[in-house]
Amino acid sequence: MPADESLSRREFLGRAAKAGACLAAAGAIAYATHDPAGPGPASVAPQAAALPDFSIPGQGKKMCIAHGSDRARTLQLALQALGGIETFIQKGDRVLLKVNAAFASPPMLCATTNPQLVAELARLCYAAGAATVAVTDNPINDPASCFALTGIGQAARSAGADVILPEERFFKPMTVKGAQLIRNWPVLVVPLAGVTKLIGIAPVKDHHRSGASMVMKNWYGLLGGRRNIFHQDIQTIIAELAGMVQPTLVVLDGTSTMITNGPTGGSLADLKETRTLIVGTDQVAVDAFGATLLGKTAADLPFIAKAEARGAGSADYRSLTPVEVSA
Amino acid sequence: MPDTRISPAPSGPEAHSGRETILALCVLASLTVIAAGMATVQSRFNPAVVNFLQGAADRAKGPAAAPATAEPILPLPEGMSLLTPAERFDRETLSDKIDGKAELYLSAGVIRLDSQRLALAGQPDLWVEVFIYDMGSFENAYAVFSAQRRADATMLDFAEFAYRAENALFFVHGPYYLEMIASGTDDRLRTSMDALAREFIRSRPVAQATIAERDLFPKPGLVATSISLIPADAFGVAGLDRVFTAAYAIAGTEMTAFLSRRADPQAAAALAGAYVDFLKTYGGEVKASDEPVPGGAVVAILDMYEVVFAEGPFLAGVHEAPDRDKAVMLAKELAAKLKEVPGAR
Repeated sequence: MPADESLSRREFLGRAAKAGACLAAAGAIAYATHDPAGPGPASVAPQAAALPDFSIPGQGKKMCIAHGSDRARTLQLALQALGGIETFIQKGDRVLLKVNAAFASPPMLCATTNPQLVAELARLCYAAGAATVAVTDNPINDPASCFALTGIGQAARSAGADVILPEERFFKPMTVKGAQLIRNWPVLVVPLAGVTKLIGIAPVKDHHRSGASMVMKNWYGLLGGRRNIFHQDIQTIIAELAGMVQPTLVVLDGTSTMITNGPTGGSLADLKETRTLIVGTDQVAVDAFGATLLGKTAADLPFIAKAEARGAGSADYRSLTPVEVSA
Repeated sequence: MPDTRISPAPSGPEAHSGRETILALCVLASLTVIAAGMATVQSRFNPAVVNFLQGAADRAKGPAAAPATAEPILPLPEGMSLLTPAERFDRETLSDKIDGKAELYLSAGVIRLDSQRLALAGQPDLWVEVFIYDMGSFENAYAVFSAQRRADATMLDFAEFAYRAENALFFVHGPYYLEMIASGTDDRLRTSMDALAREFIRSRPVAQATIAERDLFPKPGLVATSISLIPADAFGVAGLDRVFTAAYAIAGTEMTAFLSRRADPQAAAALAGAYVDFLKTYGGEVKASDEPVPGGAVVAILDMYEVVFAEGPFLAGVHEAPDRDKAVMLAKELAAKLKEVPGAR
């Protein structure tokens, strides 16, 4: 049997006062620690809209594999085989070339986009009537040093293109639909404002973490912030980047392929002459073929299947019936 | 005095207790739902939060912890001058310099990287970038050296592990691993890299160290320059760390021998068993009667053979051998060498 459960008025008032004091203390602590401003301007900055679709409607998926050692020549041949640069660039277009200028290393190491290729592509764009051509990237190392020592800056300027070095104000937080990683993440969007055509140009490289660095990995240079945390899930981030960017065209340079010690390389011994340049409108297919230059298959690189699953393109490059030409 | 006591609920103690139980269960159920909701939200990792917090921490810290300095990171030989300030990167920031390759150094225990570009005096286009990795130990430095060893390299004599490539120079000095990468292949750059290497070695005395495991591989068929140290996740197996490998070419058959010194014989035997189990998980087949060395196993997998055994404190074996008999022969030779190690039994 329980003891007498009755409660005196005095006990009731005492307990009620203690309960009230607890509630008041909890409220006071909550009030004192409440941050009405939230976590700061970075997280409340207005979100950038999704990147525009730079692909050309009705163009379909095209791909050309050009063989040769002269990059300017193989680029010309590949574009001719796809209908000419005019198929992709029209009069008045504002073109952005997204290069890989990740490292401040000399062009001979092929760790970055080849400057000769940048100059030739800029020249071709102007020849097709482009109003402006600009070149940009958010490199791993100091941007000014990267564009200078890779030769990309000089090559771009010599062809009349502007070089846009990244600044903090050029990044806006963006969320990619359905993405696990690119959510409220700073993306280099300001150089893309007003752009009508976007072309990615990247070398074929071994990559210690992802297995390969090609045109889809090249979009990594559009990310800002502490992006190295994405190395923990690099296959997913590459696929999300492919879903984020719908380029007009991609150019994959496998003239000399960095087959080992990537992505930085460092020695000419890391390179193999593979004498191949791939130009296409389907970035997944282009990377799938690029894998073969590294002695791999698309199945060896999980980001290719992941990008395909996100609808970024086709891992079966043969389904595009690529045109092959030789210089 | 009137009675001021408040009476309990009129429905009796049992009914009272029942209501309390239901209420308590409701409260607990609500808390469970809240906890589940919090766990769900927390499990959806948002990298932007990490980015924001890191940015806030960086802003609070003020300028970078290791600002670039105008001091040279190694003594400059005559005819060279500084082209850029020195930079320093630690484990947190290493990928800011070398991107995805940082993982290789991190797994091998890197402490810091100092780097700087140096140019031939009056010729800024002829430059060398020097990378000095402090790996913490000679063995760690050897691990990253051996993992990146270039084919067709020219071996150099100023350090036990040193070679030159067409445009670069790589070597180990005590706990340091150095890379010198030139802007071209000019002979003057080559000479300057040699001079820089010698200056560095002269300026940083280190204790003599050797890697005894290198001598434990049988000599017949050994590709001498192939001995490497895999710091972590060897052959894709988590926990299989600090594994030495060596390439062999025996009567036209190529295969890899491996060994790893563990804490004691029990640990070596346990790891050997775990590796065999790993291979079985991926379709490997073991015949119970097939014991190439006492306690060892031959695993047939993907048209290749793996031999795995423990000898004293060593886990050892042969990896990706296309020929079973040659793999077993090499494993027996390796086991015999390991038996000779003082204190191994």
